[in-house]
Amino acid sequence: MAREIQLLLDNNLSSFTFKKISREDLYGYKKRIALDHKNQPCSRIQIDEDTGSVIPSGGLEGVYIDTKFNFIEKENLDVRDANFQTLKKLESTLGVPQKLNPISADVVLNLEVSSVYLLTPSELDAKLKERLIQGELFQFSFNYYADYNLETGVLLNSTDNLFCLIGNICPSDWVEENTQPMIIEDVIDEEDLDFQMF
Amino acid sequence: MFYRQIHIADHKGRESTVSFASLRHKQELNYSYNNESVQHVRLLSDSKETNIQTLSNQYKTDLFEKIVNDHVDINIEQFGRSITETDIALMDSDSAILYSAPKWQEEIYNNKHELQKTQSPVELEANVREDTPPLRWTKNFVSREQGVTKFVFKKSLQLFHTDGLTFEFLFNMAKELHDKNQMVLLGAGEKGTDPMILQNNGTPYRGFLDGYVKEKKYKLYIRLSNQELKT
Repeated sequence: MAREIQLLLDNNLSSFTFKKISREDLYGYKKRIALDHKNQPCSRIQIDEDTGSVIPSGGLEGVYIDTKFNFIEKENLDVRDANFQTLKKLESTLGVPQKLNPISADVVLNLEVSSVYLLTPSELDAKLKERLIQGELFQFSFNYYADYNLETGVLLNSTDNLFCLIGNICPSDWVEENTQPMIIEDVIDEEDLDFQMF
Repeated sequence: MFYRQIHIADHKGRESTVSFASLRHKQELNYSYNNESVQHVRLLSDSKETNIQTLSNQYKTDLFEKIVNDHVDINIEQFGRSITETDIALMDSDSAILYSAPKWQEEIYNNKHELQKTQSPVELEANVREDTPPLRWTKNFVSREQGVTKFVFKKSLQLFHTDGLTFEFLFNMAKELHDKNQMVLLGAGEKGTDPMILQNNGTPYRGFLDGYVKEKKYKLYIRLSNQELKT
């Protein structure tokens, strides 16, 4: 049986199966294909700058080595944060009840969303259902795979469906007259169809 | 200091150029082993000559035997070599290297992932730059609560002033939205109705301006969405 998202509101358990919803599943998508002189698709390759040799797609493996050039398995590495504090690997939260806390819409707007799931309740607490229908938003801890970053899940009701947004809440500061703009990185973007929402 | 700039109009139609930054979650992870630092390297694990596609074309039905008996899929001299810098290129159907494609084609798929048509690429020019028409307020306002249950806001851009005049400009916009307790849909392009395209051929996004004030401080964001919250 697939693992479920399990949530606790005042110690009352609700469980949900979930299905990822992508933009492609809603609107479709487009792909750009490079064609050769025979109108056949080209494959993407890399060329080693040192030797000029051709590296086909998937022809490079990333590994960790120590100072003596010994190969180190990733699961044997110690992981530290920016302050060099050792981090503990956090287990997946699937199948493990997570506490729900109310959250305001302005905090949800600061979520950098990585995934959207449609939830189907296999068990839904009546009080939670009522509060969701009234438009309340809830947050909980979420980790699909065991790793070092615990994400935030946001549970909400929309058009009689239950959804869960997964991502990381981004901090931001108040801006005063003497605030200097921060250094900015490029905005990540990708190819797809024109927006069809309106 | 390097930052990107944006041309935007306020609720009274006055225009200015201000800075913006994308809100990002950053988690810095440092790896070590037995208290010694480790290095991440890329090692060669395949080559043009040993690639399964090349070998299939070369040996056809004898491929299995060639791999088992002659190990044609392994280049002992090369595999495991550390690779630092690489260039991106293309390989054609005759395994020749191309540095630019002779032709590009766009394939359009529907929401069932079925190919609908092929066409020449349609170029989308960025319309959110300091030299493009300003982003304008539309007449579409939405409460934050309504917004988060209708749209998936994937990322946010935070706006910053560049001088005293633009401080007042952005502060007043943030205050207007703070007092209304609503976000406003922004429109790009000449008519101020197009979705926002931040990079050439990038994803078109709908942008909602969202503002907050506290004493003489402000937070002003463009909340970006390219997906409705629906099935």
